[in-house]
Amino acid sequence: MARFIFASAVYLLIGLIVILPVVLVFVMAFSHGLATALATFADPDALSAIRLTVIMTVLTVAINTVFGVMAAWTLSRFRFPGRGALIVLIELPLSVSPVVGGLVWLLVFGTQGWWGAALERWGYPVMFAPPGILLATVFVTFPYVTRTLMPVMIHNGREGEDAAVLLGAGLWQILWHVTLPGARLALLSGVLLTTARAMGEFGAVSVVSGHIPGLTETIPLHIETLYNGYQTVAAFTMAGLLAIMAMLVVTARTLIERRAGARGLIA
Amino acid sequence: MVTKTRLTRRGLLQATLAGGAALALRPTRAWAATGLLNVSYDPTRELYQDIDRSFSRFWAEGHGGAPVQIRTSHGGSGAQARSVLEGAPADIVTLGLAYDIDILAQNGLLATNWQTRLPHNSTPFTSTIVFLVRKGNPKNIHDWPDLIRDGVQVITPNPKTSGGARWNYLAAWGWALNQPGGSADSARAYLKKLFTHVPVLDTGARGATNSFVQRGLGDVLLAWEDEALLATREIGPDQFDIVVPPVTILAEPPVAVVDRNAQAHGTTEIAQAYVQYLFSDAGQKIGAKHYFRPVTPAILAENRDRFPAVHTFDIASLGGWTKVQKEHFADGGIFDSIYTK
Amino acid sequence: MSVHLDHIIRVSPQNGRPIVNDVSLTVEDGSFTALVGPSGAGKTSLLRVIAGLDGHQGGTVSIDGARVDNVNARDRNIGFVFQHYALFAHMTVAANIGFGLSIRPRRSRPGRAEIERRVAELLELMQLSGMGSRYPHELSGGQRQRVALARALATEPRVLLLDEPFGALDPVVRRQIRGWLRDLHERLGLTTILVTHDRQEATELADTIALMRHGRVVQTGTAQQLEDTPADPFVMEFTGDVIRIPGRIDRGLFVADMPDIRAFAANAADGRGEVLIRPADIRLLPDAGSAMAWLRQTRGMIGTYDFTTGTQTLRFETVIPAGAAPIIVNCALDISAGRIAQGDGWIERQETGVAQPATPQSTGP
Repeated sequence: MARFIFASAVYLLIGLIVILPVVLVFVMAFSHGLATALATFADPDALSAIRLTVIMTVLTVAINTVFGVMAAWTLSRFRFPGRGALIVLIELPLSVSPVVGGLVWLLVFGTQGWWGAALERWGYPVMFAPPGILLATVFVTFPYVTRTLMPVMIHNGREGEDAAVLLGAGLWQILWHVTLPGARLALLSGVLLTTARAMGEFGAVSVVSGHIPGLTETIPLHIETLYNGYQTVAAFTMAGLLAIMAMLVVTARTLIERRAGARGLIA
Repeated sequence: MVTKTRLTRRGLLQATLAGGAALALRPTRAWAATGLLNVSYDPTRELYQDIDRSFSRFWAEGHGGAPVQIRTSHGGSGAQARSVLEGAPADIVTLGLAYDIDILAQNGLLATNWQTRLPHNSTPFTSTIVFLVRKGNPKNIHDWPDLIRDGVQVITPNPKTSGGARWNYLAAWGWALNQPGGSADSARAYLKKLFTHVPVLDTGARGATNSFVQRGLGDVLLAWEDEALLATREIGPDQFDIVVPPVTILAEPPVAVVDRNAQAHGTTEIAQAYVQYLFSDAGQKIGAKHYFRPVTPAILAENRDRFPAVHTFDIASLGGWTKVQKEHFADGGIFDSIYTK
Repeated sequence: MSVHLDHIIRVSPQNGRPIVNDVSLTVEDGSFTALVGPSGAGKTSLLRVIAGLDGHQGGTVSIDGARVDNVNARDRNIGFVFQHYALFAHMTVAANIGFGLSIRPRRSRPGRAEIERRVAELLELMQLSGMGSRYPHELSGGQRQRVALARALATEPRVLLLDEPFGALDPVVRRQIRGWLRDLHERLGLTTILVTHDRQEATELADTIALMRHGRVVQTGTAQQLEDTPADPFVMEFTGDVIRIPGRIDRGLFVADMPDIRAFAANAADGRGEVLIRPADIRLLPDAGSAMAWLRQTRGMIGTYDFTTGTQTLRFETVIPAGAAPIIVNCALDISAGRIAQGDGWIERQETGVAQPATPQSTGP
């Protein structure tokens, strides 16, 4: 009985908080019919936003995968002074507001900031241009790969790596052939988490983007612009697209974790 | 066996990184040479969409048919000015109030005498602050004192970030100051009371309009006249009424070419053509169509039915933007004192 | 290949306490040596120092007379089998075994066919033929064990180190693998060092046993040597069943606290002491005292006795005295074949001179 009540409560909550809004997004998107919704994608600014989002996501994932693997490996394998502080620092982006994540870059690269004026003079503006968006997105999604990888690396232990050393493997060979494949499901999971977050990031990107339609607007920013421009159908169609992209990623992640769970590869 | 997989995986990774980096790091100059960026404030989305199209045609006709790509970004006037200050590559700024452009001038982005370079203090369209109420005016709101009656909720954005909000605030301030026996103290008391009736402070005028129109918050929206007209005529006909208070402020949102950016992008000529176009008959008509009051008397006269005569005072009567900004909106100014306490 | 350890010291990186404390040990070429001792004795740590996986803070490690202290683990060419096998879960059995060969730099790497041949050879040697394409999680514990061994042997190491290799196996498999391993050691002419906490395993497999405790090697020798001449009470207890009989030294005699145990000569200073004796060395002396010994069980010549005197009972297995009845009344015990311990050391029992405790340690109250 208690189980029934709790299950119902959970269903109700998830229904109200998660499912209903997503359903409403699609209801709004198709409120004037499929053709009107699809017309959204005829707008070059919309296509540009999609393209920018995809590029930023791919790059963010690539960068954070490399950094995340390095960080997770270093932190799970070696004991060194300041290790604890480093773990806290890596998690910092999880705890600070994304707006702060954007503002810090503005402080560094804005023309009022440290290097911004010089960079702009050389023709490489960082802020209000894709590189700034990349920096902000990388900052916000920095912890995910490290945080999913580290526990698995610690759980997998050192024996496999020790065995590889004794068989003559070097550092890179160990990382590439032993450590990473041993944690590949966690890695994939972290990568997908990064992907989902990078696609949807609004706050940090909003600060550094300048909201220039067709140039520096990612999908979330473009949704806001459309909504503020009273283009409700287009706004919700883009939101629906983003929701579908996110759901695909989350589904992939769930499948991977289920597979991993079945094989006992994730503790 | 191990080697083979390594090569393909590594190759893939490198290709992704290199390709992506090339795309992302491509300097933005490439577009700037043929494009124009207008950094504008919130309620001008529809206006500049129209102007951009029309100007682009006009420019193409006069310049051998070369198409020009004009992009306009929108947001709270203060926030937009801040972006330009931090490096947003605006060739033109069309902001909610002169002070925001003054800031850019003070930082060397354009000449400090910018306001004298175009007619009418560089203000192609004026507007005013009106009340937007629910259809039939159920709360019976007609004048500034009605806003602070019990049970009236007022929607206005945050004057710290929104130019429109500053106009709203100053319209109220000017009215209170000019009441019989009015003083800075009585005006302050009125505004303090007024802001207790504000349930949310959006960052921009458009956000506030959305709160009132789409989300149904509040009984009265303090709005740009153009924003209010847009809402009544196009967003929700038969849902709203406009109430023009007996006395309100003359809002003068100015425009300027951002000299330094335009020079860097090589767009000075086209940028100047763009701002001048706003004062042309074609530009003035588009403004009127989007509910901005044209400064050209003839075109204003043509649109008399849209723009009722109002009794206004201007910013100069309050001492000008620099003084007003310092007294009211700077940190520790009057707005801080009435809003936090 | 011989392995020589000279005064090796390794301290814990966590708390700075010694884990391996001044260990010197020589493992002869072709020998099978077991490092035995209770858990926490430092056996595995010593093995990791030999392999180069852990560093040491003092002493030297030499292989075949050459110091390897500054040689990286990856270049020592040592085969190592881990307690939990440490197989690469994402690789097939064949890939696991061939790993050490396939990661070699191009110029010293055998061709693919050569690696496959070598893997097949090892699979056969390990009685795993046909299992090359399986994954570790599809194998039994014993099979995984042999894959780990094959992987360690694939690079033709100079020395094979085994860390508790049978710990996770069930007893039947364990016994089978033991004989097979010893056989392999002989056939391949390996120099093998085995870490185990199981005395029987060490006895069965190794030529030489090094018994460790608290980071030190307490005694080195054959199983028989350790059992017959244990260096201290710990070794004696570790190498076989021991009965402890407390008592005191009184004017050159050991007098047990229990009555009806015959005192015997102990040339040591007066004080507390304890006799440690293998049960089989205990003699029952009929008609020599007032105790009663009751034969509870017999197994051939050996009987389990409950020796009762006053309110105390001692149970032990020993040789049944000729012609004794199941219940021997009025008997006494002769324990003079035992060793007298004081603290951690023996009391010397030379016939001449005054006996001294083997270690300078005060006797208990």
